[in-house]
Amino acid sequence: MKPQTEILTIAISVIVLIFVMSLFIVLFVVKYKQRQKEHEREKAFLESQKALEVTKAQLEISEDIMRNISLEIHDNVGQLLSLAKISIQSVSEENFKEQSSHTTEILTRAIGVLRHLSKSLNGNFIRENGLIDSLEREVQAINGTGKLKCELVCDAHEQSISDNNEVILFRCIQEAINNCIKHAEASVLKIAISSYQDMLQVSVSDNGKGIPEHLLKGSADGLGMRSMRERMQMLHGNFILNSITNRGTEIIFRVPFVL
Amino acid sequence: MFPFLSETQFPAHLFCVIMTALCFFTFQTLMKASPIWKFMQLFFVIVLIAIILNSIFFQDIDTFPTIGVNLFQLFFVINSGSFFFQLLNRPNSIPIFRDAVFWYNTSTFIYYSTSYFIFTIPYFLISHEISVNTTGVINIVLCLIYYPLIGYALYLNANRAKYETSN
Repeated sequence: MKPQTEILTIAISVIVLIFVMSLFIVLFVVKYKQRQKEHEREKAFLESQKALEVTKAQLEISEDIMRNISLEIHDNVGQLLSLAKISIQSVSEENFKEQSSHTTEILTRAIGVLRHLSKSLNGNFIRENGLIDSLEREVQAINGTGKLKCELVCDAHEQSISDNNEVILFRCIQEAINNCIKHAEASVLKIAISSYQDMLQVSVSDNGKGIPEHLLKGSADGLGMRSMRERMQMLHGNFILNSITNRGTEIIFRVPFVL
Repeated sequence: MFPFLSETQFPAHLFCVIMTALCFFTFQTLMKASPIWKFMQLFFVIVLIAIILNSIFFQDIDTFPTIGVNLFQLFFVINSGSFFFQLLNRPNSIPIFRDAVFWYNTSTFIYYSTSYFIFTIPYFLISHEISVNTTGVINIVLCLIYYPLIGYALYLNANRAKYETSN
């Protein structure tokens, strides 16, 4: 082969090589664009799913609130007012003073319960007073019932998370407290607020009977666990549930601090 | 000033080591999250050792390190090829032709694979009494493709914020 022919062969080889690589890159671009479209579709789908879950969680929150109002009115206010009615019906000339004082006392208690209910349901009240103050009121109300001993321990600054997040976190804590009161058969309930890395941590623990294993395996949805978990996801926080039979339950909420 | 440099190929040997390390650190920033990155780290160590062993035992300091050059070019080609697959697995939201890393990777892939090819043929050229200058011409053509593409990638990278906000 002559040198000139060989140079031509080399030049052609290089051109073919560059052509093959260009073809590879063109194919890559075509495939990449397909993947990009698929990726965009998946992203849009995930975002719509997330939006759906947020809406669902918000509906569940509203449903929970309505149920709480209903229970509170039925269990507390309703009974106190029935008691007041009986008390008024049993008034006679002889016991007028005693019965009227007793009825006043019952009505005062009913007003107190309604006031507490109104405050605990009002998000603005929580925003204005802060998480710790609102929790202290909850603790006082729980201790006032005499059903169990409630303690609040605070080692963190509540100002570190946003107002809206504070309300959502407060609702979750309320849910955990309600679960403890209704199901745990506990004598002691402890609420501890602390910092965990760059998050505010709230732990609600009791010494009750714990969550039955079959409910734990089924994610304990009936106890509002899914709702609490979703609310924590909404806040980009963590939800941790620890429960040991006959030793108690601990629920940990973690919400990122506002930078 | 440095007369020993005219009698030795030490800078070329050093160049091979520096280019391999440079390639590794460049692709480290791009592919650190890739599942094959551990394999690439191992591959880097093997290539580096092979280049050093070549400089010590096969092509000494007075000989041009063709094997070393081929190794680091191969390392570049494999890294850029792998990065193409990573891009396919994790597509960015910005259009591909406005993506600086795409242009960087494309230019690297074309330049080093062609360069690898032309660096493997001097033996063939010499044995057939053809001037090695032919490969020099091809290399100049490659540089004319490579550096403008790198420049374009740098331009896109400098204006990345603008493109990201406009999409």
